Amino acid sequence: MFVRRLGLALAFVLASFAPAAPTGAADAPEVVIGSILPLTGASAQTGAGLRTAQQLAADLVNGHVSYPLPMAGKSGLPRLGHARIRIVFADSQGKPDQARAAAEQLITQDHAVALIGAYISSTTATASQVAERYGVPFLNPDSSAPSLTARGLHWFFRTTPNDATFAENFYQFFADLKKTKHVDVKKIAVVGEDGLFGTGASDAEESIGKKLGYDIVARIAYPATTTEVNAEVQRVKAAAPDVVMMASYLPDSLLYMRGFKDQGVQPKAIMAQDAGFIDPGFIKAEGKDAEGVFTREVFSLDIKHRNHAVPLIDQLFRQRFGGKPLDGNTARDFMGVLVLADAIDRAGSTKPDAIRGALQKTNIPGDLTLMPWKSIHFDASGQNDGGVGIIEQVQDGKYETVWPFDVAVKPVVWPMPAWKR
Amino acid sequence: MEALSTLAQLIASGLLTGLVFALVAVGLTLIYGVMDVVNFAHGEFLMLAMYATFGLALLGLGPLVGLPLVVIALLLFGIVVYRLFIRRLLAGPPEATVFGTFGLLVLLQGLAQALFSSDFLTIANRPLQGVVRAGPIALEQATIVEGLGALVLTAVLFAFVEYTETGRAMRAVAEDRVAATLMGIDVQGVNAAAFGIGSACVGAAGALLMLSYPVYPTAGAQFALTAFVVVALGGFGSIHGALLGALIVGMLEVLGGFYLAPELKMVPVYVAYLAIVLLRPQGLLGRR
Amino acid sequence: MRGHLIALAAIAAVVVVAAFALHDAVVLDLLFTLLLYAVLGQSWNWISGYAGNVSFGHAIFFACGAYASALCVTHGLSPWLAFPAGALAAALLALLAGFPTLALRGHYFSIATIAVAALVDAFVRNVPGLGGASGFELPIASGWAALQFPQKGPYVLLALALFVAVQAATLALERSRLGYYLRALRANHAAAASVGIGERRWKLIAFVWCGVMAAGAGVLYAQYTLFVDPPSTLSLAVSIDIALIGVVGGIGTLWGPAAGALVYVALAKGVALEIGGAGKGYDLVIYGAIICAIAALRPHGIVGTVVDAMRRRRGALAAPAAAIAACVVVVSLPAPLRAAGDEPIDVALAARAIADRDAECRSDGGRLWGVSLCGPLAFVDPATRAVVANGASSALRTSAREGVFTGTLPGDVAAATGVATIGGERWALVAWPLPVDPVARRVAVMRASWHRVQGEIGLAAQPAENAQLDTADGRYWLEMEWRAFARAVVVPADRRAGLVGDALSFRAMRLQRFPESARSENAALLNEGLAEDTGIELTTVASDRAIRVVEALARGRERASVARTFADASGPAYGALLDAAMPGWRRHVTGRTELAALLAEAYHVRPSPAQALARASAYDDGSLRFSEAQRALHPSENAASKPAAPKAASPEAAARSSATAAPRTALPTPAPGPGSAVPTAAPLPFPTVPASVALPPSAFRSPSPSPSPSASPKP
Repeated sequence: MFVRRLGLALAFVLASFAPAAPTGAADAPEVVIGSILPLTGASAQTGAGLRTAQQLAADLVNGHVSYPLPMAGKSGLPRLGHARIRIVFADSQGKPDQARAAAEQLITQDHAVALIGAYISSTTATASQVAERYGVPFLNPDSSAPSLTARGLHWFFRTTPNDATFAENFYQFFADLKKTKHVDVKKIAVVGEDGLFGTGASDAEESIGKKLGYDIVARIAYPATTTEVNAEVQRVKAAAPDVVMMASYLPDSLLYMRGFKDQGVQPKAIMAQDAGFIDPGFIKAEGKDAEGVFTREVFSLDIKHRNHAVPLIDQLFRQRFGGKPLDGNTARDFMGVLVLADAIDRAGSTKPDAIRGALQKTNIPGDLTLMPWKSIHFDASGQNDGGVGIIEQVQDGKYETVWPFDVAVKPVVWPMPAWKR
Repeated sequence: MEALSTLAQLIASGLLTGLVFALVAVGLTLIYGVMDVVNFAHGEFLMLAMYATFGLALLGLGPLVGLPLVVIALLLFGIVVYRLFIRRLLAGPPEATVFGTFGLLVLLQGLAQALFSSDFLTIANRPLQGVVRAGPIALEQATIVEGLGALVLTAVLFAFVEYTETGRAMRAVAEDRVAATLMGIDVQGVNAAAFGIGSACVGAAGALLMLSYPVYPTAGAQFALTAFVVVALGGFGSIHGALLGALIVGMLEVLGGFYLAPELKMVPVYVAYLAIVLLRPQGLLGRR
Repeated sequence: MRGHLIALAAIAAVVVVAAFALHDAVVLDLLFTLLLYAVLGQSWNWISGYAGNVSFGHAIFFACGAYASALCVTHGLSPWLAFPAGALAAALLALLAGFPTLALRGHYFSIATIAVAALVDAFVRNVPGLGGASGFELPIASGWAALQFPQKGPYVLLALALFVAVQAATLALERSRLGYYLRALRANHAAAASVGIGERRWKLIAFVWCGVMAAGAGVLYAQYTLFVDPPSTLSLAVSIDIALIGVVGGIGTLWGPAAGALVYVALAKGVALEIGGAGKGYDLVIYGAIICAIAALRPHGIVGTVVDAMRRRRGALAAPAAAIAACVVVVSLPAPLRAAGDEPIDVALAARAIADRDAECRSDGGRLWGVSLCGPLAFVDPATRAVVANGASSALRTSAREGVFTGTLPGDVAAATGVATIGGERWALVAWPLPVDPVARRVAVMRASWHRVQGEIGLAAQPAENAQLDTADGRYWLEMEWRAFARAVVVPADRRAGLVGDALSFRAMRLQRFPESARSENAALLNEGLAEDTGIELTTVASDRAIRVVEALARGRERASVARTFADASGPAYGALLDAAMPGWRRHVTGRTELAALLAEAYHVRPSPAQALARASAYDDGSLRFSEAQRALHPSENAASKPAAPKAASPEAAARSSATAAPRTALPTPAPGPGSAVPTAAPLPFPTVPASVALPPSAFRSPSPSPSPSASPKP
């Protein structure tokens, strides 16, 4: 019977699942860090940039040229006999279950002493759970969902500020404006796409705003893939807010901008949570209508006067990545590798417990990083409590840093210019 | 009074939104009507048309000027795809067309990402970016043009199917394929023409949509999904049905978004669809 | 019948053994995924295959199980309860959704399933208590009670149990009344209705069973992945994946979904292995092409094809069997998720670059520096550490290929341009990608080759920072020096001395302002300057030398910051001028040589700051001063301080146009020394060098490094 043959063939073949051959042993002493990134799928382009940034950081740690950055140029990890760090990359494909498998492979097969990743919050969630189970430190440089550090995990550390911090930044910005420009914001409309990003950002904006006594006059969620926003715009118009906070991707951000303009919705400011609003296509498509739009950002090349490594690293990155400049994602991933290297070195050992202890004691001053942060220091939940975002505003066709005022390069323009008819 | 003017605005926007859906859906229903194929890669044809329009814009031809070229390009593309691929699918079991066109969807999206990257591309200095105001109602010029395009396309297609010989041949094949063959109609030729013309309609849609939207590899997907619901609601194969279904969907989406909640704006659409096909399984104006 | 049962038992036995014997997490994960997908595919098969209603919304049942699990756990209940709870929810959902839709024909039903799935998605996202958009994370636990395990073995066993149950049920279906009725309905629903087979009733029963099976898979998935949210359990993509498994394997057959799951996993893995993470979507292209091929060529799926072949000839079994075997081999390959790189270094281009360099250094033969510049040379891709070298090396683990040697850079060597000792040999390394312009490419490679031997020449590498050159004054006098050099290299020999004197005087003026920088400037000249000069000297024919020097000076002008790179512009000028006046000067160069002094000696000039002031107006009518002042105020915007100068046919025209472009500002007015008149700009006989040295960009291809955010990264 053919079926019997097929069954036996399958059985034979299944039995041939050999355990994977051990990967080639390293010649020189090296410390393996596992990195989980979306290297295929929808975010593949971002993933490629993150990989380049992480590898650049590793090369600098292993190299001889020193920069005003932690662990750069010490020819490896001095306290471990100048062992080199080697990053092994694994593909999450943008899916939580694949991220889990990738993390497991990195730990069990590649013997990674620590993991870094994974950009997309849902993949970070599952990968870090694997790390928790195996007792391996997991450093997250780039996922902003607040829930990630609310899980009570012991092995999870996050350097980037999360959406709650960014929302707080908006309100700190308003408070600062009140002091300096006597600007009074009262009514706020919160608009966000209905996925994880938009919901997380909108939730934070709404709850913090309410706590501080602002009047949240509208809370609008919409399907991210929508092709029209007529109803949403009408709702915002009916609420007549002073400020509209937006968490949108590029196609929807364009729809909203046009809708606001056409329907005469003229808030004093539009505050965006990154994403679509910082896509290069945004200013290109909107032209003059983009003037005055604010966005929170995690990074800007403007802050080079804080640390002159910023343009140098930007230059190195561009050489490796087809001329594209360093941005918030790649800068954070770059720093993530350095933070790990710093902790492993301070631990003086590759034992997970030691590395975790060293991570808990991390205290890197902000101007020794590429970021506009106060410091890198992890609180009890693993969140970096020294992180802070910056706020940029479109002025003369490009985003300029306007807040915090000590890193600003241009003054705030308030209110945003009226729509030009 | 405010409420009334808001309502008026929403109704106007809803109708226009519906017309934009009709623009995308009309080609789909023609293809189904003639050869019983739901082209699940319809959204990707739209995306290709949008990229083609963008490419022409880089050469200095605006979307309106480039429209005839894009229409012709998509016509030829549709005929080629039919002859090389769809025809083989039709020779197989019914599920072959479903998965064949789905495979085409994945392939075209991957190609777009490989060739054009995931960047969002908009045409610089687009025409018709102004607003038309009538009382409390404000509508974008570009959207109005898209809506007009839908009406023109529907009318042209209808006239084509009713009054031209090829159109009549298509109707014959749609009604009874075997009888049409016996009458000497070249079914394969008719199929190819239908697929080509359906694609050409999508080409017109893509060119017009570039007045308002950016293009990226998955740009067509959401339009296509709504188009499928529209066509099923209106009745597969019925051009008027597509128009009617689109208007209904547009109104439901916009009004539902305002009076219900924006995050639930597709719920009335899907519920209405299910209700209508429960009561009238062939759709509103569908035959069989 | 017996055949099927035996096959099932054999598979079960193998999997059980694997679950206990293997400890490779990756392989076990693959097994688990395979079995789970097979279950999902089979559950889909019941309604879409046997009953003939193709569903694109099957994910809703899968989600029922997954969410049931998440809800049980987060409410403190045992996850085992999720099996009955999820099954119940799925059954109810099937009844609710199936009742209106199962009577629909063909495409109407398929689209109805999409509509239902979208409604369920909206429901889950918006009804409080169901996790919303962020979904649920299941807390970590261990043990059979918690249905969570640190190792994979138990998961595989559970999945196997589900698989065996589902296959047995399907086997029973095929021989049951329900099965017969479904097949009848599928074949001809009108005829079936006429003999009293109630379509809705029987299809609903099948639909409910579908849901129950898929929900079981959902519970296991949730307990395995520990994460449940709408996109990963409810999206159209998930439904499509499930449907694909059924179709590829063969609709309406017993073993179709299992075969389909095998192919699906093999495909996903194989594509990830080969295509890697270039971010270009090649994986989607391959996947889509394969689906199209299967749909066009083998629409009955693998098992269908096999059965067809069986009915015709046994021999035709070979092709599909080989296909299945290939899939399994791919699946069992190690390292399934490691991102493989695509070819990082274009070997042919690298070989050409190596051949060029070798030809050039052989024709030099050590004449220039007394030492041959030939030697170990390698190109390294920093991202992947891939290496293409001109010689074999065990340290680089090279293998011969197309006339060169490919390998990998060991971990302890920096993957950047420079010199490194690898395996006891000194290697010149050049980072990939090389400059696109062939001239720049050859210079860059030769430069690296010089650096490799500079120690033997006696010129130790010392990085030198010359920050004074980025100040307004420093940069101004540097640019004046460059202007003078640019003229000097193109004029006939008898007029050079004066121009060289001017250049060195401008330098002297600069050093008067920044006295401590003399040493660091000289160090940079001896290091990078001579490197660039050697690069140009050995890769250019003599008649082109002057143009290359002027190009190098122009490139220097375009840079926003010259503190680290000024020697790349100045060096070639020094080298060319010294070559003209003092052949063989290089033999006298040591680490203590002051290059400027050497140049002054060669041309018998005595530069001085006073001469600089006197001669300044011959090179600058005020516009340079102005634009340098502008640059100091807005450093980032004035990367090239002059807008592209119009193609000037004569220097006077250029001088005029640049004069009108910028208003005059106060020049350092030359103090009229005794008897010295202020000379005017003498027209030069060679029209290629306008007075402002702002060469039209079209004349030379030296791209300035400006960012273009929408350019896609090159693989």
